[in-house]
Amino acid sequence: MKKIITLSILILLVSCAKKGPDFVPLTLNWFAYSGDIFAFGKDVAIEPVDEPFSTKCIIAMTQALMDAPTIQAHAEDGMAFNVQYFGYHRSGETSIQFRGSCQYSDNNIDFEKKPMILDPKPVREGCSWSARCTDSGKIKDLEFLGSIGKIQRKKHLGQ
Amino acid sequence: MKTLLLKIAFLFRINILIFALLSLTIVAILAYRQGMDSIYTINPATYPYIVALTDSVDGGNSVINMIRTDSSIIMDYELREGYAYPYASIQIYLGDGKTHGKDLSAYDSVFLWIKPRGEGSVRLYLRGWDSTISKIDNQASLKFNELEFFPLEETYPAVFVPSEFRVAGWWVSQNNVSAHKARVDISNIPLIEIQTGTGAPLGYGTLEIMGIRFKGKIISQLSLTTGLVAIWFVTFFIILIIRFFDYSKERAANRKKREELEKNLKALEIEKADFEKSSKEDPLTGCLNRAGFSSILTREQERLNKNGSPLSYIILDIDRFKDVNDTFGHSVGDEVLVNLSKLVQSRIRNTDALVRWGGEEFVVLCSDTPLQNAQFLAEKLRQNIENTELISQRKVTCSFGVAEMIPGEDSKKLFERADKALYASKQGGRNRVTSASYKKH
Repeated sequence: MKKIITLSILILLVSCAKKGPDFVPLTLNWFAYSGDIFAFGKDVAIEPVDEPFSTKCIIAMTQALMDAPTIQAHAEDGMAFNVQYFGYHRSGETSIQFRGSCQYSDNNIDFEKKPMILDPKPVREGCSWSARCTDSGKIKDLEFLGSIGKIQRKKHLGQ
Repeated sequence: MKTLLLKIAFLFRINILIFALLSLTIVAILAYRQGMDSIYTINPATYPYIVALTDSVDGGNSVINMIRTDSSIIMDYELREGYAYPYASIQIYLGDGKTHGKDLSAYDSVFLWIKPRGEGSVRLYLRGWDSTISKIDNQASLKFNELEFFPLEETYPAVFVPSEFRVAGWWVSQNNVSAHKARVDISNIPLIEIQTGTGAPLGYGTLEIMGIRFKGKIISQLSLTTGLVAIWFVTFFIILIIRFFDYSKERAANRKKREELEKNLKALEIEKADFEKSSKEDPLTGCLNRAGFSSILTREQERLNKNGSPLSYIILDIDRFKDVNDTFGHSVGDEVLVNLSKLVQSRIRNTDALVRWGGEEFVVLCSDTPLQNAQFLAEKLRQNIENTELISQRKVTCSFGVAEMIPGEDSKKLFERADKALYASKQGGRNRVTSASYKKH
């Protein structure tokens, strides 16, 4: 009997326990980079991209971030990124490169002119990431730098 | 009272007409039966155009003496041998006595007050003018419509009907009259003759003639019937016309009423639409208000639950709006609100709805839009607002919160999520977009 009462109280307590938020606040500040292309490597040619392509890629990037487990892990306090992007041409393919870093670390920097340097070992997990959007609008190579168990650094655009 | 009577008369005027017609018919029939007599009386005592005549005009020897009394005319005669058919008579002239006499065809009976003082019959001639046979200078050519009778001793009149007359056969043969013409015709009688009859005994005799009366009806039965039928026909024709005009009037009135109703209905509909619109609109910005928003939200929720069509919600809040009001006054604050709503309205799709949620908070309901697209739209709006001079006094920016509705989700939860995202934008430094993506893991 005592066990049953204890079990019931436990069940009651578990069911009444405060649940964490069921959503992830994600703030994205977008910067279309138009600065020095050599900052990203000499073998890269900056390619102006048309708006439908950039729109498609930005939306796809947003979705990819929203779906990313690393971001989802921050449901409690959410994440805020400055995202820099630019089009480039390499090996006959036009892509858009995205780079993101947590806002608190890059406050007051104009990423439309200044290249974003990603911290390879950010204090907060998921605070540095990069990705590429192909000409078909697919997000490829989304990589969170410094993530535990996910050190899959690819040599990619100067990183 | 007078108006009421007029209304009743108007309402029952057709029935009144029928009633009047029936009454007229009954009265006419009764009057015809009981009266409407047409009487033509000749009083020999006073009638001037009476002459006495014997067979002496035909070579006979008979003599006659006519005496007028106060009430009659007395014909004393003596029939003598000489003429083959001795006779004595009196002639009563009507009209001009030659060609234009009196029409007696309308009378249906003849009354003759005659008193004999001797034996023998009496002939009554109604001499008719027939222009095809009669000659103006020959009295004998006047048609002999005759009847012969034995007068009674009593004072009762001898009564005849026109059908009892016949045309004298000797006159027919003497004038070579065709059978078609040898019919009784009393439509133009210039002369009435009362004569001693066939085989009247020779010698003295007396006839006292007190009067002749022709009696008929003012109109014939046929005319009366025809007239009544005509009146009925005309009346019903009038009723038909009245009904037609009534119907036309009624139709016109109904049409007018219908038009008025339609007009009123239209006006009411416009008024209702205006009222509905104004009840769902924010008077300052012209955006939807919460009441307008809820109906759209319900519709979009139904679409989401039915078709899975994504529905996102952007909430935007003007950064430091209180400062604008406090620094530049509420009119400038209103200007910000109006210009901002105009700007946002111009940047969203027709299918999206802009709502003034209250104060400086606006909501954009994006139908058929997933979260990432809504976030993109919000980012575009944020940039547009940042780069537009909404007021000259200072730069205005907005913070955004974006959320997507999950099928079957309570809208309150969605708002809470978006609101928290907005809060995150505010906390993060304002002028930014935060989405509240659904936690999948």
